[in-house]
Amino acid sequence: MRRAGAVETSIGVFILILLVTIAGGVYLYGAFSPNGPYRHRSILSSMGSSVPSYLPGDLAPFGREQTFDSQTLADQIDGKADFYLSSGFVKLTVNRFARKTDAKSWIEVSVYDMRNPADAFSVYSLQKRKGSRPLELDGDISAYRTEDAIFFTAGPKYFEIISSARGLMDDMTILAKNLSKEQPRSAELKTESFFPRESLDQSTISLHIEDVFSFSGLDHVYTAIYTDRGCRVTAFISRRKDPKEARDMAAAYGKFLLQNGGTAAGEISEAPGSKIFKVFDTYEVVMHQGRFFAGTHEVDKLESAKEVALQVYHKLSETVK
Amino acid sequence: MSEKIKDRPGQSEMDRRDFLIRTAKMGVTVGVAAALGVFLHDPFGPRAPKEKPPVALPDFAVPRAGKKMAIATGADRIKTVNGAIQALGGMGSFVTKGDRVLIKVNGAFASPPSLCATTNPVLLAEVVRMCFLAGAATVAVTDNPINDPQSCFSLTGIAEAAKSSGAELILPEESLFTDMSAPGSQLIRDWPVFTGAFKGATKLIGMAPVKDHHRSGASMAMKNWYGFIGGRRNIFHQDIHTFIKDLAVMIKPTLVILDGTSTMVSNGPTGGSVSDLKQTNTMIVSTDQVAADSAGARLLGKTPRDLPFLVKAEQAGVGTSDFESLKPVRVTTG
Repeated sequence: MRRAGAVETSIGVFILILLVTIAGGVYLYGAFSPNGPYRHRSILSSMGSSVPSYLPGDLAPFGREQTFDSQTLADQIDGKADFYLSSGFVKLTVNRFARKTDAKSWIEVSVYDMRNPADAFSVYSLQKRKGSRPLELDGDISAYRTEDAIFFTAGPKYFEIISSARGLMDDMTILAKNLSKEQPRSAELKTESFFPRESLDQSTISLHIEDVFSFSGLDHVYTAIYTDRGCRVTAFISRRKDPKEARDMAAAYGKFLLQNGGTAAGEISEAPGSKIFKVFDTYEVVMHQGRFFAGTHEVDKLESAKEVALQVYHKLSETVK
Repeated sequence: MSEKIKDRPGQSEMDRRDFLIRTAKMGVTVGVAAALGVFLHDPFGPRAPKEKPPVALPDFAVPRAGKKMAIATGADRIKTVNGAIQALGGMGSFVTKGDRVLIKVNGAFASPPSLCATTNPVLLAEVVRMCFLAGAATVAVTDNPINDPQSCFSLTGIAEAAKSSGAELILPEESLFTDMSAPGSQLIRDWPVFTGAFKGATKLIGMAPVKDHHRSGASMAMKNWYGFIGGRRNIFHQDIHTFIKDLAVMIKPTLVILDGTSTMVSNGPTGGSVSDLKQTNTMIVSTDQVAADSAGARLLGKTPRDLPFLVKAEQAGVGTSDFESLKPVRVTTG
């Protein structure tokens, strides 16, 4: 009977090696992937992470890096996953670092990759902690700190740095600064910068992605809180695709207010196309300027609603020029 | 006569004998493959899986204890939990000599105790101590954090608290889960449940912190049973209120201990900063999990009407949302 030739033997050996390699790959995936079937292996037991360049000198990696996608995000943050998933979530990367001299003093850095900078700003702004303080980071990065944590957003990423113990804030600040320097810069003017500064509480600027003001047609709206003669005023700005969409959105939102108990209450003469609505005991100003749909929302005093809306209108007019 | 059959040039010659042997082998191979195909052929195709009949988990309630509740106020968890349990007749009213106690903690996240996203380890150690003092033969502590349980138990301080107080830690090994349907449940149908944790247990105590929850509005004693569920359980977030009701129907605890010493009032259920917490200095202990959660809802500035799972659980007969009707014993600790 004919014996296999050298070429056939080589092909056979190659196929066997390939199969063994695939089997090895499947095992390694199962053993080390957070999605794998052997996930009870503790991540703390493996200290293989390389030291990132942004890490202060007295900290060292504590366990290995973990990543989560839209299918596995709930494994890490349970019920909060929906919040991110509805806001353009792409990927979460988590790393822990501990003091070299005290493993109980550790920090956790969570980096949320979002679809775009607006989505990242949205999840950052909507979780802003009360009583927090602004934090100066590189460039115009939006950042704040609390007693034991730092939160910031840069480009399409949202960062959370939390700590296990007090006394880590200096390290966390250095880490945040180093990390923020590594983020790419965008030359595009941010929509939130169109809010006039006078009497604005800068820390209140938020981006709402969908179902804004309970109106299902309204999305991607920035809000900010002003104080006008003691009256709290919520102003809003939404950049639309073109002037027509901005105009249509103003009309649709006005119609929505009228269908939900609102009544027409005039207009602001200096802001052409603006409309004022009285909705129960509060006032809404709805207007458009170029690509922007804007106004004030649920304001107790008519004069304050008009005053802040007019400031917003003038600022947008300068931008549109 | 031997006829030689030649393959392609350069290959060895084949005689009639070789040819017949090879042909026979090929025939056998094809025959076996065909027979195997016929043997394995299913003329009816795949059928819908047969659902197993519902199986009830043990009822851990102590009938003589009835429905009762105590609310202790104070900043010291050890004092408040002792005060509240004492007001209900002491741990001996619930745990007796030889009992094997299972404590279901909230260890869902690998976060530090200071964030109050998980069961407080100091409180856990104290409750374990009280169980042993009442005569428990064993105390076990468990939860099923989906992501890396060992890290969750370690970083939350739960593992150390269990170890130092003499309790066993039950990790959610895959072999401890059983696919089952729960009686009276709408959503728990043929789903992996952490039944292995209950093996041998005679009493069950739930220990949960009071937290805001992005999806359900609140995470308290009833939501804490989520950790007895396996699989890709996040799909139940689509109908979270019905699911929490189902959990409460399925699990009948001896006692629930709801820790509202520091309530997570925002950014729940993970939190991330002490800024998400509010000092509310309240410890709620009850044999009625619906009543306990209804009292806990107040710490979040909510009423039972704001939390549909409480309404559903009450309608299902699990307990009462009118917790004042239980005439809770109120205790103030120094």
